[in-house]
Amino acid sequence: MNLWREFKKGIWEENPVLVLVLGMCPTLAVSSSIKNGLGMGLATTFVLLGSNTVISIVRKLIPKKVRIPCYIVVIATFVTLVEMLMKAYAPPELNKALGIFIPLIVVNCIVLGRAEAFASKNGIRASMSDGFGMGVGFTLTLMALGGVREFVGQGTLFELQVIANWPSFLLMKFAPGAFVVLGLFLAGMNKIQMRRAEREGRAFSPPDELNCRNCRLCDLGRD
Amino acid sequence: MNETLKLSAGLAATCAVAASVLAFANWKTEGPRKAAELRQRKEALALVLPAFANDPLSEKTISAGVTFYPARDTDGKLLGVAGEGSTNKGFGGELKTLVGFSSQGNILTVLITSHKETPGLGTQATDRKEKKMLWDLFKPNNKASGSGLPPCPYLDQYAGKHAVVVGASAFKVVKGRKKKPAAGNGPTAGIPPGETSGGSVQATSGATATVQAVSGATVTSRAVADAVSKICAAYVSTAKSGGFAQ
Repeated sequence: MNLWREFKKGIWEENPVLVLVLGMCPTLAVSSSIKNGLGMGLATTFVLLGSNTVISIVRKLIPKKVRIPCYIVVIATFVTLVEMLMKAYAPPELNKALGIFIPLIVVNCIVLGRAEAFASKNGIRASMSDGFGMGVGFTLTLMALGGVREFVGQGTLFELQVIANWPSFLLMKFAPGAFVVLGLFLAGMNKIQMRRAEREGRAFSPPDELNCRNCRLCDLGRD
Repeated sequence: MNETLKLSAGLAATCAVAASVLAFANWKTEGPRKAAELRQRKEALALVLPAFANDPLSEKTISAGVTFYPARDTDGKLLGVAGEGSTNKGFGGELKTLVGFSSQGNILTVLITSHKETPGLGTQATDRKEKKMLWDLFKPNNKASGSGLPPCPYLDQYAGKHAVVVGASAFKVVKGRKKKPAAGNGPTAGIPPGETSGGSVQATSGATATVQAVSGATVTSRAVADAVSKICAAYVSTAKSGGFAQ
């Protein structure tokens, strides 16, 4: 298993937000500025790394039929651990910046999605790379979205005013703006992939995991 | 039956391991967490109160559901009081506020010590931060920053208002364009600050104080106003009953 490949795919080919379309809730809520996006992305990356590793380690011990609740217990434990450690040892600045995002990670579908789709079926090092790659991809996407929304909405980048007296574009601060920007990003991503597929002379198709023929959604309850 | 037992055992084992890991981590981090909280508390008090010589934390009193921390100078005279209270009307849940009062009963500073508001939206009404230009990063550091308290346009509206006015008839939060403040808004417009002689505050028939809500964060703005009003009301009633020893 090529570790570099597992890591790289999370950033572009199987970007969790723009290709796998996972983790939409925190993406829409937290992509209002670059700083928020970076904070949430880093925290999620840490949890992804940890939960993928742990679940990969115990994947042979967990009975298949109750695996989803077990994964959720592992993920929630990890998030709580991160929160406790941060409150105890992190400098107050970091706490103020990241503190609100940590509890939101439990409901991030990316973590559960990767646990079910990858970590439960692959070795430890591959799972670690996958988790790390997905986290980095998530972070970069959030930052890109946040950059657009923050700049168009307030004229600031990373909370530094770039152009003074920028008229405040309220739509960008709220959910509708998030949907619009995210939609444009998704369209752009699709266009790039279509063009690349055309150049390589093959039909554009989503990754195998998302192909309806390989759909295992209905199998979730089964063995 | 055997299958169900195996499944339950698997799930139970996972939960047991998770619970013990968390219990261990909780026990281990209890001390550092409390220490960090204490440090934050001290910093917050230093921000909302004038320079003091005592330890307000050790002299705290609780009355009317609000915790009060008195600040005294080296002679033991009361310089001001900080009141900490909370409200459940925040958008995301509990919102804790620390309000610093001068010895005259005027609000000095409002600080939100804990909240669960939406980052970027609700936090405009709760967070204090410096407004910086990107180009300042490249310019040599000419202006002395760090006067202690970063600004927050919403919270700074409370500064200067008198506790009696606020506590008597809670803050009204208004939306919309900035209009001229209604009569009775300023600290001196027709309402003399209550005299705190021997701990009693004279109530005056108050006009309502109004503050501008942050557009897009009305619920959070109202929650902050609610918390500040509660603290002011508690301050007034405590001062009246002689709660603050001079």
